Amino acid sequence: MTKILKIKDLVTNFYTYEGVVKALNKVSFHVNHGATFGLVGESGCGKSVTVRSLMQIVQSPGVIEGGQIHFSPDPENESISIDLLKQSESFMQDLRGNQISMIFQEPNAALNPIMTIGEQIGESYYFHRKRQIIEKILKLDTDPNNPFPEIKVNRLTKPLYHIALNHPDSFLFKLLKKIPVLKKWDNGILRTAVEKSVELLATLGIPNPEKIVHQYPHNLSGGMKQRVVIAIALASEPVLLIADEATSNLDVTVQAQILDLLNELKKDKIISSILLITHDLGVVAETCDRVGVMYAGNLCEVGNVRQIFDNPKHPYTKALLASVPKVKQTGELNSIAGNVPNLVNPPSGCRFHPRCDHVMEKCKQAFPPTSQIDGDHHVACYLYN
Amino acid sequence: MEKILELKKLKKHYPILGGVLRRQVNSVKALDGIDLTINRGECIGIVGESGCGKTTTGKAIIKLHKATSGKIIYYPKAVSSPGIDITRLSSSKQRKIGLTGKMQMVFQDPTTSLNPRMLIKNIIAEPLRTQGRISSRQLHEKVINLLNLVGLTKDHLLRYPHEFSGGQRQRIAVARAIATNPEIIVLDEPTSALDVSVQAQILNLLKKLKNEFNLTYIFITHHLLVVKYISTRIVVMYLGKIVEIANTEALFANPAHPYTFALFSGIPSTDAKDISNRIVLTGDVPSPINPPQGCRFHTRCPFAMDICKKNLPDLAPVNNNSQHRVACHRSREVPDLIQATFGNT
Repeated sequence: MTKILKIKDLVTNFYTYEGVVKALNKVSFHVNHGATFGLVGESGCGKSVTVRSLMQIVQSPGVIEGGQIHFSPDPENESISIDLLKQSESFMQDLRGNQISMIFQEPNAALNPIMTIGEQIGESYYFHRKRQIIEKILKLDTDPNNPFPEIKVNRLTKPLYHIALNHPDSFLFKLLKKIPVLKKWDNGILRTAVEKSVELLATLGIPNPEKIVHQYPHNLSGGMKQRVVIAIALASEPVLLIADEATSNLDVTVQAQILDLLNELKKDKIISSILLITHDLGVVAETCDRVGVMYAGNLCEVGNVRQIFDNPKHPYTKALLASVPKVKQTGELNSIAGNVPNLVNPPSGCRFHPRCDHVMEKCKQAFPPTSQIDGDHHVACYLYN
Repeated sequence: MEKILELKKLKKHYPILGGVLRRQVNSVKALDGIDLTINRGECIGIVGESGCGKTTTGKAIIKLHKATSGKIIYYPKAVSSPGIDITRLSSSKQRKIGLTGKMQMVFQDPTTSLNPRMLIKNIIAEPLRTQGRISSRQLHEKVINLLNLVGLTKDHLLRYPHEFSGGQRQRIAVARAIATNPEIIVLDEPTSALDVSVQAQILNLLKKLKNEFNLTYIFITHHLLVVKYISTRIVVMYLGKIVEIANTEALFANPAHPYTFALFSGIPSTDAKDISNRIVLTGDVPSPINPPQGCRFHTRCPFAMDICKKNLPDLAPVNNNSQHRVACHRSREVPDLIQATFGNT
């Protein structure tokens, strides 16, 4: 199995008035090609910060202070990898939403209320697939028996299409775009992009996509909005899809629909790898291949799904699994005493030690190194060292 | 079993105003005639998707808003007393009979249900003060007592809500709810804003308090496993109607309504053995402004027939068991149909 993503010793801090919030403390894990990796943990444990650091969209008191993020998009050749933390902003801009896409938690907040659904999905095509669309339009234009007569390039703007294709950064192009008559030269591209989003919505199982693309987000229900957000993320055919709590605000029946959709898309090879972030352990158990459990900015256990759920090693993972009500629950539910620590002053040593049942003297002094249990199963705890 | 509360054909329609004169043009049928009997000392769970009327039921019971029609009959503790219809009772009359503070509510989000400008001691003391005269020393003692009951100490008295974590805030909200010695507590999604480990703490606390004070809980949630853990009886609602009522074990062992089946199979499970074939419902919940004719579930039901589109099914007992009732025309065939269509679930 080749790795699509390798994160090593990632450190992200937030400089607030109260002090430095050490949100990520040397997080390392990898995601395989064609697999689903789940990141679980309670709120405030740094799941979202990890992927935001990966996309480099950490918001301003936050600073990525160290580590490496190796991204290798080619499944055959792992050695072609890019360290994302060393890239320029314009490179990242090209990568985001193109090779790595993200689905955000709240579909209401992720969609723009004053743009139609078609425009929002089309935007993704417009920015990341402009070249292909222009080539297609020009080809159709020269074709005498054009199957789509509505996509026509008018004679005035036709040169602009050629310039956009050959010299997109030239001064002449920038100048021509400013001329009022030519300002809307790219209408044809937008229209084609909307057409493409109709196709995409149909593959995601949305009824009457032709009608939906002209509607606004408030016309749709929660589950439909989440599908639209997924469509936006999939428009550019990403190699890695990041789903940040994609089903947390949805009802059980709708959540089942969305999880089924993600599984189906993976089966049909529309998406290859997924990085799923959630606090719902059930969702992880049903969709992921590998899991990482996070606590207070540390990754405490990584492994195969069944290894983690059937044979958890870290005391936190054990306690977390015991506190979830189960279908066959009998007797008292276990709970973890105490609260998640404040990350301005995290506990010394292992960050879980104040709530741990098996705490030892050395747990309080230094952070435990990661030790291998078997194969792919790694745990950061002195009990296994 | 002794009744404590009875809902009779309870309806709540929220008006939609329109036109120049702001006349009522339509209404959202959030709660469309439900009948329910709640026994003393039980924990009844109400589950359903968002917009099915769970919260509206809870709010109508504690009279946070007035029911459009129907009756809520409250049976006081004295055995032979007849029920009192509290739907049309004025608050002064309610005080005279001694009903104030008998029903309390814990809200979903503890961050918004606690006043950020009040000290914890004032938040908890407020319901006690409004209930009647009480000396300040007694009040102070009572507040400390309540804090200890929910697992906090008197060090927390002089703090503001923002200094607490989510779980602690929910504990404060629970302490406030039990301050007036209520008989019924409506818990509206008390754990959905909390993390799993904290959720377990709060659930265990609620269980302990229930046994200690013989409380009656109306537990509203969308999380089926939480409701299974805490409730003795479960009500499944869909679009303003009750579709199934049963004891917890009976409901999980043999659900009779297709919607209940779908809800159960949608639970993501952490156990590999439980992962079964899913019944994924197509489409979304229809709008409660124009609910579908006949059985409300027929638009998403995989087994809908012509009769389902015309007639609204009654809540009828399953297998002559008066405890387990279901509103479905095909309830008898449903288990076999599920087996035939989706395989073993």
